[in-house]
Amino acid sequence: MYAYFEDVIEERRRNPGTDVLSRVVHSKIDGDYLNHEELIGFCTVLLLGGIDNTSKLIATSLWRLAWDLELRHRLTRDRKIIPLAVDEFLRYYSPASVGRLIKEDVTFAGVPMKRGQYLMLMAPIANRDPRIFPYPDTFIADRSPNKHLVWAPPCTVVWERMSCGWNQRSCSKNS
Amino acid sequence: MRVESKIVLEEFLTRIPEFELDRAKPPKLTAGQLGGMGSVPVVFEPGERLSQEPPSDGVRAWLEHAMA
Repeated sequence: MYAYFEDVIEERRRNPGTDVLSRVVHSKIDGDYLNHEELIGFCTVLLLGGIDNTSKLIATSLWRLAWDLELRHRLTRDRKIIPLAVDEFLRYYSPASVGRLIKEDVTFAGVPMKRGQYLMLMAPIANRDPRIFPYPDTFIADRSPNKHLVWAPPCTVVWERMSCGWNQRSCSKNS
Repeated sequence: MRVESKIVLEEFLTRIPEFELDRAKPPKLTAGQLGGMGSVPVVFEPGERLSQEPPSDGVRAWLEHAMA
């Protein structure tokens, strides 16, 4: 996989196109290009995020639709709400959680964390936060707004450097 | 991910509006860093064939995989 990424990155360096990877390879962040390790990391997130997450989400959505007749009939009757329902599936059945390495001692929300420890960011729990989502444990097919964090945690490695922060939802949402 | 899911749901519900879980084959939940259904066998009444074209190689390979 890495060998493939290295070839593609090199190719895009020489012959940039209009694709996502060309833009990433040729973008400067804080005056610098992404280094090799960051580019490989970005490709990994983009590739893995596009396979496993998506198949899990689709399978879980169809599982719900197989027994939730009311929801299924609503979506077949009113197809306009399918895009909103996709976001609600993403919120309600958030497929991914990611790990992070603590780089310096810090206390966050009263929890002390030490350099070298690992941290699991549980997006599925954040997506049931009652301060953000009214009736968080209820599946509301046309919920709007729906500011779930499905794509935020996997993106923070790269996006932190791009100063976009936690709430930037730009990862593979349109892929 | 959002686009793929939307297209699958639209096309699936258009072609297979009525389906249910296969009682003989329970769905498989996978948990861990990625959580969600790994396999969801469903049963449905086949609809009318829409195309007279033979299935493409990709579709044929998928069918063979699914029927195995």
